Amino acid sequence: MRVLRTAVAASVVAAVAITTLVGCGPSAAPTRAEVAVPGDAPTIAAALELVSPGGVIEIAAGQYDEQVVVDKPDVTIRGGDRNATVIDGGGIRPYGIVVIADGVRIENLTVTRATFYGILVTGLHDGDGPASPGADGYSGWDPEAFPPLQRFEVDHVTAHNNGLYGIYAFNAQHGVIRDSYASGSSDSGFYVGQCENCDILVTGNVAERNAVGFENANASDSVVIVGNRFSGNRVGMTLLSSYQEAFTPQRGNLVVGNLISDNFSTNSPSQAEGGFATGVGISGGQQNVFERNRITGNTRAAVILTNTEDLAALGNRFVDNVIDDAVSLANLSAARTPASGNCWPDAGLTVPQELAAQLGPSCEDGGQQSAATALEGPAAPDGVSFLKVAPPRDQPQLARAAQYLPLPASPELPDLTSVGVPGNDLYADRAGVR
Amino acid sequence: MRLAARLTAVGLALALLTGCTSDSAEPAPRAVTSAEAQLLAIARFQNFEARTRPFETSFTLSGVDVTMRGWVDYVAKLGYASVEGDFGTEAVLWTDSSLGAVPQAADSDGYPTFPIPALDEPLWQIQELDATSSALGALVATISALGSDRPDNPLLLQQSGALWLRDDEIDGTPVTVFAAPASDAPLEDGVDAVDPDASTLRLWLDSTGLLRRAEVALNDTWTIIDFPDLIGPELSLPEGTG
Repeated sequence: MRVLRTAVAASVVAAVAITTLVGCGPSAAPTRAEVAVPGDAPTIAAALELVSPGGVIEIAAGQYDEQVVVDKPDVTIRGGDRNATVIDGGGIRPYGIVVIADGVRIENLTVTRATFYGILVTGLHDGDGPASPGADGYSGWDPEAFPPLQRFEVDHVTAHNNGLYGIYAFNAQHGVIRDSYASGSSDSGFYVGQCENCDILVTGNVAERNAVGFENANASDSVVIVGNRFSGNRVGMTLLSSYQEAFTPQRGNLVVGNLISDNFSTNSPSQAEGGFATGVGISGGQQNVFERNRITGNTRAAVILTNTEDLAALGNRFVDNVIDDAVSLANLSAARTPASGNCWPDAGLTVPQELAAQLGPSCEDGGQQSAATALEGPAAPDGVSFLKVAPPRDQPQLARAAQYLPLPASPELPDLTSVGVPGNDLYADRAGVR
Repeated sequence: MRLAARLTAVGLALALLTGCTSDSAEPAPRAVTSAEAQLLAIARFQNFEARTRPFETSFTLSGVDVTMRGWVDYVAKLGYASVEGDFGTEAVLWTDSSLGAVPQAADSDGYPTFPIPALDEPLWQIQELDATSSALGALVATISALGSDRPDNPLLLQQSGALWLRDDEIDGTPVTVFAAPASDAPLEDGVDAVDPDASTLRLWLDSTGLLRRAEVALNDTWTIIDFPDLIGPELSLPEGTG
């Protein structure tokens, strides 16, 4: 998304300028491995000045009206109480926390009421000077000029009532978004975008009351989405190819053991693209694998395939998922960009007979699939202001680790063969929509 | 994308002002700061938050001076107002796509009365809302475009040339007056080269980003739309198919 990316670049410029100015003081204080807020530093920004690379900032319970830019590598930023350590954007600041350094951990805190992003992890910066797109916007942007941020971890973070996105990783690799919670986002609760060989694990998260629970645009290969609850949003999850970002087409995600249910939320912001009450939307996504997910109660369709301009929905495979939706698969691809090779041998009778007959053989022959021009579904209710969506219930705490070693070069993946179809009650105790 | 474009010239083909009378005592327009851009970026969202905003404006409609008072509901995407001129008073109702008018007296404050007449009432005249065909169409389309269910992009507003014009006040409330960007395209020559008279939309915002006044250039005149800080009724379409 060009607009979003523009915002990221300029915000990073501002952040760099600010830190440069602060660094011009008469004598820089020595940095420390451990900084307490507010004990050692009154604000999180001041703590970031004080902490050493690789150090830990522990933030006591309290409300912090700040926009935090993390530009030191391998720092851990930790709340003393996940539900009571709150970074508050006040409905005016665009970001809660922006991570632009490698190896940063964010854990056990809440970010709320930012107008754009609760947590933003991005490699779109050059470290000491402007990262500007130029007059042609991002259409001519060269990703090699902005190498992806390396290694990140967002763990036990609550991101609620943020304007566009809760937790957002862009142009980043080798990261984890784990056991976190996002609600009330006008775009998506969780977002992973623009990376190849991403090596990103998204697991144990709860997204509800968002326009979209989880969104991926152009994040490909090695994105593993396992054991999440994407329920009670307007749309559960989307895998999108987008020409407004680099690295089309989106491809090669593993989506295993998730609960994607009852996505017809009314207490949520409106969803821009239509498709209210859909479990999974794939637009120009390719070679993604869905295994052992429970995709139920999505009253438009469990899965919808469409194209993105000339990029077809291609070769997506569905294996051993549990579906009870009235429509398990709808193919709304344009005639000029037909879906093909999408494979779902046990999709059952809830797809049009002609399409159903093609989904089995497509596993072998990659054949084209017949498309519908429209799909009936419930009318989308009025959207709710992102600031007025119901707040979450208290979320589980993450105890402080004995030691914070640097994040590994690659996140440890769970054994996916041991992940079964989740129950309807997966993380129900963390959800307000049940 | 849908975020920032709508705060530019709100999609209307409005004639530029010819000539400019700039009081030399006025401060020089300048690029907005980051904090000002953030305020401007939430202005349309604050209208959505408020849901319904009362408004009042005077303009010339087919050569007749008229006053229009009413409400715009940014959640329901409906406007309902009373238009008074020497042709008699009418109530107007509009959606994103349609504009209707029906003869109806205003209340003692000049606002239209409820219930909104049913749409199968034969005196309704309903047409497609065309912002280019009449001053009324342009004005109500402008008013409707001043709300959005999500914030605009503050950085894009800065990059595309939003300007700080001056500090002012309305009814004792301090406000900042901004010129919205004339286009959402990034500037090639820098903000310093922006012509403040190229913008056809000026917004007066209080310190919370609440819109208190908009000025829009219609033909060769700035039309002022006041938005008093008062609660307004939630609107809904009346019965009937129209």
